[in-house]
Amino acid sequence: MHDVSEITIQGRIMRFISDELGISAREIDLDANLGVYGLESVAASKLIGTLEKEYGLELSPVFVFEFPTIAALSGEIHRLAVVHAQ
Amino acid sequence: MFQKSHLTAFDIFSITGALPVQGSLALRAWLHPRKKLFTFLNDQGEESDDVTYLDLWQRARGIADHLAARYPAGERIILFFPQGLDFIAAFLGCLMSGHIAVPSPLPSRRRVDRCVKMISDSDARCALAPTKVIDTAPLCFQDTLAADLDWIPIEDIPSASRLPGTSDCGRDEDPERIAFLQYTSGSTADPRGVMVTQRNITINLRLMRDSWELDADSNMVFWQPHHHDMGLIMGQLLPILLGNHSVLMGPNTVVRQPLVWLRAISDYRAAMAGGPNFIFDVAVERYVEEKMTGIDLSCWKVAPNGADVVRATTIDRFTNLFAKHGFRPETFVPCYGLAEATLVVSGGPTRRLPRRTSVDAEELRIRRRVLPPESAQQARELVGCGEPAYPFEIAIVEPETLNRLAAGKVGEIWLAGPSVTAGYWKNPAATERTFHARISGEAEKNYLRTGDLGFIHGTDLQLYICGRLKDMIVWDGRSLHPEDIEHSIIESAGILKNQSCAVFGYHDELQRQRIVSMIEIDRSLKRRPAEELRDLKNRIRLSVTEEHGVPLSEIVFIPPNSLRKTTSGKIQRGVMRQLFLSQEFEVLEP
Repeated sequence: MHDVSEITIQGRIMRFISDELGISAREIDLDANLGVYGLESVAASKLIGTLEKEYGLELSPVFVFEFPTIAALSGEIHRLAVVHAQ
Repeated sequence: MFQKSHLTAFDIFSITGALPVQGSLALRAWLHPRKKLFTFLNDQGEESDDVTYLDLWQRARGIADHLAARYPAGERIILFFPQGLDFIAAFLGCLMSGHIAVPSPLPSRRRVDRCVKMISDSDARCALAPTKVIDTAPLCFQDTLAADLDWIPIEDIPSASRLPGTSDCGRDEDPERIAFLQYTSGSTADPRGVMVTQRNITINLRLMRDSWELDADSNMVFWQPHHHDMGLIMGQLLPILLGNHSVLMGPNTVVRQPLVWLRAISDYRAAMAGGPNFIFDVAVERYVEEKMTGIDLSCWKVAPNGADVVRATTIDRFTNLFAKHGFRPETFVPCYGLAEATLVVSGGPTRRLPRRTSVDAEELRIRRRVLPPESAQQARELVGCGEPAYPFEIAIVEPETLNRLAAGKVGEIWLAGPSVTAGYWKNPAATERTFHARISGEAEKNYLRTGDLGFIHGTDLQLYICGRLKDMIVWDGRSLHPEDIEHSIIESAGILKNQSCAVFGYHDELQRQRIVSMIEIDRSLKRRPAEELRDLKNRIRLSVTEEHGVPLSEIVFIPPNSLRKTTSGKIQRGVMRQLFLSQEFEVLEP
């Protein structure tokens, strides 16, 4: 079973941004709008797909726009993953 | 048809290879009216729309009649359509009525400037769009030059009810007539509409068909947007020439769920599907074995990989992973092309493994020489982007002296042949520079300068691409001009002087494109609180994303007067890139 703690999920999203967009992790802010990092619609779709695969969830295509920061996104994924596990 | 009671397969092959593409549609709507031409899949991969050969011809004919009654031939008609099957009817309608189509991305906030420039450069007076676009788009254009466009809702135009005949095949039409303007070249400030003629389209479609041995049984699955040359010409016009059944979907669908793409290839027994290199990486990254049940890729014969750097590692990973699902390694067809040459320039031969060569990375980067690698660390694996597709002629030319170079030497790629387009719309100076180049000491023959660097291998005859002559950055198949990004940075920061910023791209150790900006700031900023610099960086990143849709990987602050410039004051981005990569610069940061 995956570790679904918020902090692990935050780390996963930061790693995605850093691999995908080449931004060093120390410059990524948990509370900044993800748009700042260049996560536009194609990259956002890719992030949703990655999170769906990683945590076995089905997410809405506009998920990233509803929870637009790493903090909000990881909080929601954590909640869904816990519900999913039950 | 054509005064004959029956057309043989050979007749059809020759005729479609010569007619304008809308004429081929008329012929096929007569030959197989009820055959399905396009099926559109929604973001869940379910069929949401389809159109037969006759449906599409009658819809396009209706649009052509409507336009012909309102605008003189040769007028530009701008097309604003979401992904779906309405676009292609509108596009072909323009071609049938002798109007010049101008495909455009939807005018979102980020792209308004670019759309307005495109409208004013093409001098279009009329826009065709679905009602749901017309409900919002004109708002974006308030107080701009584009506010006066006539908007025609596509739903208001009835389909024609008659059937096509010989006179609809366009046999006597002028092949030099401009069919559409492709606005993917040029910067925002200086947009360039590539003038693509009817002959250009026919020749390019024919060379794809012939180089890759495609026919009416070669079904296709495509997802590239129709305002891009690959999505339009390969994805939506090639099916008409071939007479196949093609399945279309939106780019977001595939990027989020590459499985929808792979399943469509299997379900519709597609012989051809492809895209820029990154899509094959996405498919590998998102692979889940259990979800592949029932997917059989053995039907897949041609996978064009083009419009971006083709990576050997991508080809290997994809081939290894999907071999157990029937994918064959010789399916990959790396190719090269550009809008100025209509689309495809080289690619193939098919049914053979992609060619590769290992070169010394340093020698190539610094001295533009192709030599065996000095050490394993210095080795860079290049993938051959195909042999020149007939009737293209490729010359490799030394960009300063304009001398022709021998096989194996790196130089600028120059092209000649009937697929080279007619030039840039209303821009004779740029057309002269780019399309009418002459090789020194040779007979008077015009070549197209591509601005790309490459060489033709002495033994495998493949064209290998080595980078750009100019500073252009290619991101997911899109070309970006550094000066546009620099402009956004300076505007958004508010405290920067003009010419105080250099933007360039480089490929990291995994050959991923990264975009860097080096910005001169006042030394006093160094003493400001760290949050202030962080906010400044966030502001800069946000504006680049919003205006150009690309991430800025690194923002480096440097002292005043440390950007290298030419004597005429132009920023030397290439020099800055070298300094950045060798870490030879002073950073100004708290």
